[in-house]
Amino acid sequence: MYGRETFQREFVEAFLIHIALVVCILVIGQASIFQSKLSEQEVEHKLIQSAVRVDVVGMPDLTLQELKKIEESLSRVEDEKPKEEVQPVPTQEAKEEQERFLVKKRKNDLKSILERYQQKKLPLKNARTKRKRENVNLDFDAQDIKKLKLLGNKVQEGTRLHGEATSAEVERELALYSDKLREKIKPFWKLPSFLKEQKLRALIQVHISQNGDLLKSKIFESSGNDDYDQIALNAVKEAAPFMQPPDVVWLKVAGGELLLGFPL
Amino acid sequence: MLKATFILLFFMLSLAFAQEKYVVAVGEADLLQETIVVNTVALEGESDVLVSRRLEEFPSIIINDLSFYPKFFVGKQVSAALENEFLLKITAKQEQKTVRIKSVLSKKGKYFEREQVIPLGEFREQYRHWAHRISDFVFKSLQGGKDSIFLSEIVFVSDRTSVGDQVFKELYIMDFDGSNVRRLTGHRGIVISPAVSPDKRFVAYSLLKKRPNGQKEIALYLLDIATRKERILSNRPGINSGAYFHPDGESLYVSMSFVGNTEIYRIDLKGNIIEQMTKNYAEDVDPSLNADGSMMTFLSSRSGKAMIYTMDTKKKEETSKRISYVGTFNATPRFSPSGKEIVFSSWYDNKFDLFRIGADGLGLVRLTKNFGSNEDPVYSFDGEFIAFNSKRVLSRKRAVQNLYIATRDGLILKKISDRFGNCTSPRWIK
Repeated sequence: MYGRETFQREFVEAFLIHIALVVCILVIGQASIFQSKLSEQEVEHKLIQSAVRVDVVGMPDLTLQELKKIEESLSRVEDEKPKEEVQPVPTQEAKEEQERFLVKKRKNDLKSILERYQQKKLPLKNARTKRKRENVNLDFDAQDIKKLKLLGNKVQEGTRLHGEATSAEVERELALYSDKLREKIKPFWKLPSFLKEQKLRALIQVHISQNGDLLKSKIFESSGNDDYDQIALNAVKEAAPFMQPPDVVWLKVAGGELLLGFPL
Repeated sequence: MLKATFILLFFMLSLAFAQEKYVVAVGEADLLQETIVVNTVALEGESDVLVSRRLEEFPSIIINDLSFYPKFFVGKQVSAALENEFLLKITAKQEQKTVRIKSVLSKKGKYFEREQVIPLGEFREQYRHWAHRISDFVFKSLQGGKDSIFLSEIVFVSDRTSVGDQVFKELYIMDFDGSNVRRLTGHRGIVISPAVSPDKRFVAYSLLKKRPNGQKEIALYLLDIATRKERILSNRPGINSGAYFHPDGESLYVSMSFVGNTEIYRIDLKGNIIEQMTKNYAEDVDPSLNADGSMMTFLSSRSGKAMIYTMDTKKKEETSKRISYVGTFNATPRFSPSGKEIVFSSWYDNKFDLFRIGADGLGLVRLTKNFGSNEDPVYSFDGEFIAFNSKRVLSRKRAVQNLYIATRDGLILKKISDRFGNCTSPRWIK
């Protein structure tokens, strides 16, 4: 027969093991959620690619070189005005048409109105699909990466380290500061083609002081290729010193909580 | 037990907290373009006038070589290099029966060197080859040991020996940059569609001849490049042309029409048929294989128009698949060595232009435009370049055809044949 004490001890043990299991599942679960997100991204890539077949119905008129030039000029425009959506300005003609349309609205039945309305919109739609076609066949990697302004695996919100700032504010400041870091380092980040082709990835941990000096930088996660790691490290060192981190995040930045992903 | 559980719990929690790091994506790296400063060759001791003159040409040959990779290199001939530039220093010394060339490539913190000892006679005749070797050394040093195209050669057809109205087309071989041209055949006939064996030992080609009864025949020949001896591989009735060597070098794929309809066969180096590749009422021509010989692409009129098809070389017709669904008339599909893409010419706007398509039929792109009529594209061994012939109409009666090299993305780099008659059918060998 079990004594009361043995039972109690074993009960506690069992309880703790179960908690450990739950935590275990949570951690693994988080990891797998992250992975499945990645695979979703890949699926999107494939979907975009398969759209090519539908779009090309004749021989392409523009050469690859011409398309690249268009792409370059487009991305230049994007760089200048990152988030501004250009809205088509209604012409005088269109405004008059709309007024007439409003007058007629009461007289006409719904169906004919809809038809006319659709006809008006048609050229606009065409223009949009045309632009899509021009973007097709291009290298997707570069664009995807451009769009990827991600700030990493934020699993925990983190405890407050300094001041009265909320975690949201800290995150916003960190995001702003990492944008600046990226801009500063990008010009120094150059690879010979044979390394670029290999699609490697390295993470570099940086410690930046309150006045922007690079205190320390080290390989956090190696790419497996020494040359690659070294070139990435050199890019960071050449880009230093950086701008001063905002007060609310400087402890995090100095404490090495920022990892630089080359390229992600 | 209790302790172990606590440790486990602590470990799990610390794992969860350890992820509290912020990753800043720096983004895709730009391509590093190196500037290479080439010095004039420094001579040590006495040397022949002939040797020193040839050494004087070295810097310009090397700079021209490097210009085939405009994304990677900028070459220039000045005396001193800046801090962030590579300096290529070449020193040469003529000894009794050899020329000793030492090349040093250096930049702050980086140093590469190579020494070549070349027999004097070989240097006099093949000095350009040894200059290309220095370019290759530069390329290998800065591109992780990869092979460059600098040592490759191109076999092509030219009509420069034509006399008056009589057109003769013969086979030639040259360095990739268009220099060092040597003639391979002397048939005083019309040579078409050459193919080079992977070991560079043989060239297979077809010869167009008229029989005494006025009937045309196209026979397949095999030429040994070293001995310049040729023999007939196949003179079956009708067409015997469009040869392409299997990577094993022991067999080739060729279009023959002795049964009445043109089909692709695989034959051995004696001319015996090993197997029939295509079986269709339509004409099948222009076979081309990927680097391991597992896939074949060819041109077929089975859909009514000349379209590009691929097939598995083992399973043949049951795996034949139509790749192109566009173009009024497509011609000369060529596999990239990787087998991932196919370059071909297509009739568009009343002339031929080059296009590229994925081996799965996706990703069709145009490579040339407003650049004459472009035909017969062929990949370099690394799949990064495409050689092709381009025709310019000068007047109603006169047109010239020359060979060009472009990147696989259609950036035209150089014209490599000049005033050498009409050059066609380039075949690029490593």
